[in-house]
Amino acid sequence: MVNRNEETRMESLPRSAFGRGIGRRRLATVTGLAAIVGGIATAADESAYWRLVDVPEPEGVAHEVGAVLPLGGGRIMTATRRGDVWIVENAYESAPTVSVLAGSPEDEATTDDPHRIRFIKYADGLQEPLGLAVHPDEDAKRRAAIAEGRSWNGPVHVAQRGEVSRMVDVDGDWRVDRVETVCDDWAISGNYHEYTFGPVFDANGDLWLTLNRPFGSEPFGKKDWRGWAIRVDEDGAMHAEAAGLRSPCGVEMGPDGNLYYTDNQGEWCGASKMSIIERGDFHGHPWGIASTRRPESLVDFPGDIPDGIPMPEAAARIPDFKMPVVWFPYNKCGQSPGEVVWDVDGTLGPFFKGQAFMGDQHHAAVYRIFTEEVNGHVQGAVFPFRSGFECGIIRVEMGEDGSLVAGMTNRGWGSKGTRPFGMQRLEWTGEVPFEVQRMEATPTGFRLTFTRPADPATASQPSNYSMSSYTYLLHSPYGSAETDTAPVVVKLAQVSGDNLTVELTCDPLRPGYVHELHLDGVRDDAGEALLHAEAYYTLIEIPEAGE
Amino acid sequence: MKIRRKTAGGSFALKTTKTAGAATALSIFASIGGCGDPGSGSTTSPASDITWTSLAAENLAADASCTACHEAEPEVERRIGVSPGPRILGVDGVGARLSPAAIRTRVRGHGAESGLRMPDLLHGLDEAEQAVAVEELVHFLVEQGGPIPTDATRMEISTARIAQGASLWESIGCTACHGADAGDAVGFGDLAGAWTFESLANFLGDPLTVHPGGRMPSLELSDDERRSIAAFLLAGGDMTKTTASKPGLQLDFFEGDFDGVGPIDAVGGDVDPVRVPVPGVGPYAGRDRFGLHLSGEIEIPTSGRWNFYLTSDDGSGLRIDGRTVVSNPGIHGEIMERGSVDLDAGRHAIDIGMFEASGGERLSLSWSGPGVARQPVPAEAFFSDAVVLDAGWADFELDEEMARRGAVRFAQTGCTACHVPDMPQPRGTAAALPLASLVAGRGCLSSDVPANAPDYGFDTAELALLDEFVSNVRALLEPLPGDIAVAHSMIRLDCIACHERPDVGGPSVEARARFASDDDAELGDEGRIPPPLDGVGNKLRLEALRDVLANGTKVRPYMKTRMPIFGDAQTRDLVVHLAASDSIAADGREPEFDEERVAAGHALTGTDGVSCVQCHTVAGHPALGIPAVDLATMHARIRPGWFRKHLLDPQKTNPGTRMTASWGNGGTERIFPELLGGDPVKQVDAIRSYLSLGESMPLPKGVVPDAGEYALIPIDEPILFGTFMRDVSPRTIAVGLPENLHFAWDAEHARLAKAWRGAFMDAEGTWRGRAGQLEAPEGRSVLQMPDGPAIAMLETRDAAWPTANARDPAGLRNGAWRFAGVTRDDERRPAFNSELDGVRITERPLPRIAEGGTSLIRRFTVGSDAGRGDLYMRAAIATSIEPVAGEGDERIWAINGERTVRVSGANSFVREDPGGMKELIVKVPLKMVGREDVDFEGTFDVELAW
Repeated sequence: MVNRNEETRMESLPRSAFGRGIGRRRLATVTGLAAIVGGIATAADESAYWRLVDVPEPEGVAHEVGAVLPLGGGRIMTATRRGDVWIVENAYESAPTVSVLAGSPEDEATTDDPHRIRFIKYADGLQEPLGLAVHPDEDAKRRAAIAEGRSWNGPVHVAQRGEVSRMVDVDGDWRVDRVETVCDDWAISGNYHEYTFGPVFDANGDLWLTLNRPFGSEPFGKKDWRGWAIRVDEDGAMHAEAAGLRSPCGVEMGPDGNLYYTDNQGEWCGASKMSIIERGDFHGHPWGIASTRRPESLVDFPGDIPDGIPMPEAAARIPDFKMPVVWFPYNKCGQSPGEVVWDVDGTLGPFFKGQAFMGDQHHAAVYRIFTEEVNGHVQGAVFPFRSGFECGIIRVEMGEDGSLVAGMTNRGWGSKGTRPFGMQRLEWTGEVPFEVQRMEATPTGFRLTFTRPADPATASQPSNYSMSSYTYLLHSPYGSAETDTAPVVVKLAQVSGDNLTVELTCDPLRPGYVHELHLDGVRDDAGEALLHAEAYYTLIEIPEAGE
Repeated sequence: MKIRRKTAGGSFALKTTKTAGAATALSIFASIGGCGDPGSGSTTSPASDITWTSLAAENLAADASCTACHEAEPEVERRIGVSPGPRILGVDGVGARLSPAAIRTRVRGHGAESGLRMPDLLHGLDEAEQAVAVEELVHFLVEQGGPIPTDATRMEISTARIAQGASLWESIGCTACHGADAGDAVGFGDLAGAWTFESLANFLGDPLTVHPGGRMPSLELSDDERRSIAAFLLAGGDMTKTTASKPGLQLDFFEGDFDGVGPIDAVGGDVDPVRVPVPGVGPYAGRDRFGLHLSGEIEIPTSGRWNFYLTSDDGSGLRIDGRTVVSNPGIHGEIMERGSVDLDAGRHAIDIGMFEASGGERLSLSWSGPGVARQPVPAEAFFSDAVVLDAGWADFELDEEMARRGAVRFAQTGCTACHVPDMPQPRGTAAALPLASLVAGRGCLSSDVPANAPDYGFDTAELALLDEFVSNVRALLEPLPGDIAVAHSMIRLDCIACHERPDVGGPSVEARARFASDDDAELGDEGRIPPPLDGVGNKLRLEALRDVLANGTKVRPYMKTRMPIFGDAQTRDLVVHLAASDSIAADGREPEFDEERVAAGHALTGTDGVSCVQCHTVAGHPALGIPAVDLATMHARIRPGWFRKHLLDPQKTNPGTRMTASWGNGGTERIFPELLGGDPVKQVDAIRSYLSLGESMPLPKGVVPDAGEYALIPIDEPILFGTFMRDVSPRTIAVGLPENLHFAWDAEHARLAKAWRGAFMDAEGTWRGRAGQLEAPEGRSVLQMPDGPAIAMLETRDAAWPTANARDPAGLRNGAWRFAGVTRDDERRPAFNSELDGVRITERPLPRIAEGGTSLIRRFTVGSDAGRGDLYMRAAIATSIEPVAGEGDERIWAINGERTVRVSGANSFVREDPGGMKELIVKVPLKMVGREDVDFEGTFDVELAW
């Protein structure tokens, strides 16, 4: 960071010592800019494999990033919680010298500087825009432009509190000319927590959004569809598809064509989770179930929701109750999941190609998710991936250079890290870490696949694996402790001939339970420990033998 | 008299199976008051041969006040604790608290009240004499402040007060000791037969004065709260309750902003509602920012169609039998709205909601119907219910002669030993041997208590405990080891009903489920369940421990359960024992203090640092997010070692906490390497040095916005600001122009709502912390546009202008204009589009620099696929609209003689609405244009100068 020391060394109490706290970054000055690059080296081990690069904003810009959309040609479009949409130029610069606001004196003074980052205000006055999306037809053009190294500047859909809109820059000056209301069929009450997340396009060109439930006063009256997932068709008409969501901050279309969303632990959401949204689902939170009585509802009334039953029982008793893909055990896998992105090209490391990455708002860290389909249910395991971001992450996207772009803010919801907002990129260094690449369920336990050959002596030793399983309660208090925790005995660990996989025979296997595995004792062939020796598999379905 | 007590076999469950001996002890703990679960499976305490059984015996001996009669060494008294009896003499004595019948029951003994043991001292007398003695004592005791007049047992109580009492009962912690069911609560007996509303409320307000040794601590209830709990407890009992229908409506008052929504469904108003004869604002005239809810019944004289005329300033609504009949929403001056409904003769439920933002306020209701001309609804038509409680005590006539004889009996019988402990006691009377000389199975402890000894009614298990106790009195000379002493006190005071402590116990699963917190705290169990006391002597400073135990000092405003006040006498030993058994000597050192460290701590605390202020209140200034404990209290409360451990690795000191581990990897991660060399320990210590300034700490960054931090000042180009706006809508696009003329577009209703000059807006309410405040223009001279749509389709030019059409909660628009988006021109000025039934409007607000103040041009472009002549624009509503100049399509109008409206490019005219107000109407000109995008189009300007 920029020479904070200078700003915090104070002569005497009380006045001079208590100016503005730790100084904001002065990017107009070149002093100390090297410190911006690379962030702060924190998780020493992780940073050897994935390095952080800052994308600084100009002074005076509150870059509380609520949405990230790569446009190609070095440009990234971001939307902020304050209602601005920015075009960030030269966003992938690895050693920025300065970050300037288009049209400012600094902008003119630095036009010849190839290492500068430049912010253009594309739009303003939007209400909490927390997502940007591009229609599939246009997205093909965007991807083509990215592939050719040029910028795409077509229509972008944006979610606001009370509407989803389409933004068009007609004359190509990177300033919006039209913001068209596509759909505003849901009403809002004036409560701060009524965020709208999304939008996400499905293959048909329909838009999906999730509507946060309110907390506290609703000055313009209680509204329907809060805690719902909605679909907006090509005619702009809304369809109320799924209910029972709590604080569904991340919505993303998976490469498998499923619509995934993340939800934040709280009342009626015992643990943070990632789930698939399908028509008619009930995800557990009763806030919006009164809306199921409306004729427009595509969800059946789930009945009175029992308070205080374990999740497997909830799944059995409550009609259309949706079990998650994964739970994110509290504090072990973050505390506030934001968005998820799939690294379909494997640019964060080819060994993780196709896996998902979730940015956590509280832990300022990214978690990795491996998923598989078992008996028709998508489930999988969560692994710690990279911590040490400078602020809580709510958005993650894959950038045009293959890095992971993280949009960050901690306003109102504290986070780890040293900054109130910003954007950082995460680049793979090219080194291959020793990690559990995959954790798959088997009829008798789990199959682990490593990124590098393991040492067969340690990997075949059952005592090097410790496992327990637990579930959560569906209940009205805020969050659930891990419930009905019991040890799982790893009876056998059979290493494959290439030392890349190990078959664990485990007892008992309990469906509806997180199976938490620690394998600190396992080494690679050079005696090196795993970068992350823990995994959290959410076992909903157990594969049948013979599959 | 009913005495209900819980026993181990009753409704509370033990978590673990205990051995027989321990289970006996547990049943006794339970029977003497507690619901907490003692023990964690071990039956013997870790340090010695002291068992749960022996501790239970000591507690029982304390409750029975053995040492009041049986002399014991001070060490023994101190160890087992003494429970002086309730204060019963004097003008505020028992006669002022309890009914004569209740006193009679208690005089007979065996009455467990608040966990105390009252022995039968009269059992040795023959039946006739016993009866005489009881009556004499009753008259003497009733004289102590009584008798309570019988009419004091009759009380009219509002249902709101009973509801508030019920909510307090459930939330503040009563249920932790008394159990969830107030009707079958531990230690209550027949409340209504014993207490009056006033006497119970007084007792609840200050139980420690009445029962200095009692288990019932003070919950520091306000006058209002103790009255509510008393009302709830008495109304829930066997008292006669009648609901009387009385003339007038019940009026509930609510303070706050209601912003366009009547408080008809609001909860939690004043608990003693006002009764008003007819709808009105009652005693609240002249106040601002409030809501009213009037409820009751209305008597309809004749069946038929009835019209209701609801006049209010600001908004209001009327419901009859739960159906909305009149809606008069929004912030406005005195406006009348009407509605009709078919009603049968007889009484119907009526609800009126009304709110007032600021300025004048008024509410009235008129009606007309079969045979009734329009007139204010008369007072005879309104009724509402009140709950009347009547305990139905028998009359009691005080006989002073009996009372005098009772006084003598009182002293002779030995009542003074417990009830007047300051008085020289007739100790050493025949039976009262010193404690150490007592023999198992003799005297009070024999199964057939001799005439000269008090009969406590001990059961077999209790007798077994006490036999063991008196056989080992010598052992009591030894003070208890610290950890055992902690367990002893925690069980005795029933701390474990709420707090978990390893090796002692904690709240049952059911009790844990009942703890509640503010909905918005989002602190999980931490915000809800009273903190565990594992290592609390290491966490809290001695003074802080004392403060919280003796004075009930509260630091967690989000937690609904309240820490009670136990008083110093009952807790001073516990404080010392906790500190002694938990403290780690090496943890006691304060970090070095100097100004540089303070400055570093200040910097780290703010939003540019680790941002403690996101969640922690700072010297009373609210945090940006959730409301965790105030930082200004930390240094005075928390010991330095624990503070350091907690900040570096919060999950270790407090598993499951929401506290952020800012220094990762167990507190070793280096953040802010420039500050104090990046050393996490030094940085945490610096925060402590800074927090040591307490209330005098300079505020960290982020707590209070810097001056102008959120001011929106348009200089180079327009600023668009999306926000919730007071009395506009939650979807407002406010636009600030560099010309210093600003306006607010209501995207929800697709209409221009306001225009103003001067300062534009401040975004603090929308951009700071979790935000979500309703914003308002900063500038003065705010011009309010007429309510309802700007453009309407009228069947005739005289047809009434449609009212503002709010969407229903599901979002259905009911034929209102739909906002279609914003277009920006080359100067970045916005134009707003809206559409309805194939008609598309673009409204472009433009500034016109004019002498005397910049005016606002509303430039309308209206397009339609069909030629139509039914489109009109309403430019103004006023009491007076007069032509000033011009003719035809170019006219200037004076509005109330204060401002002007110029209409250009369209014909304009004035008409009168049904309420007698003038409306300035513009006929929308549509011409065939035949363009590709539109067939018919018209453009005109409405220029507002004010």
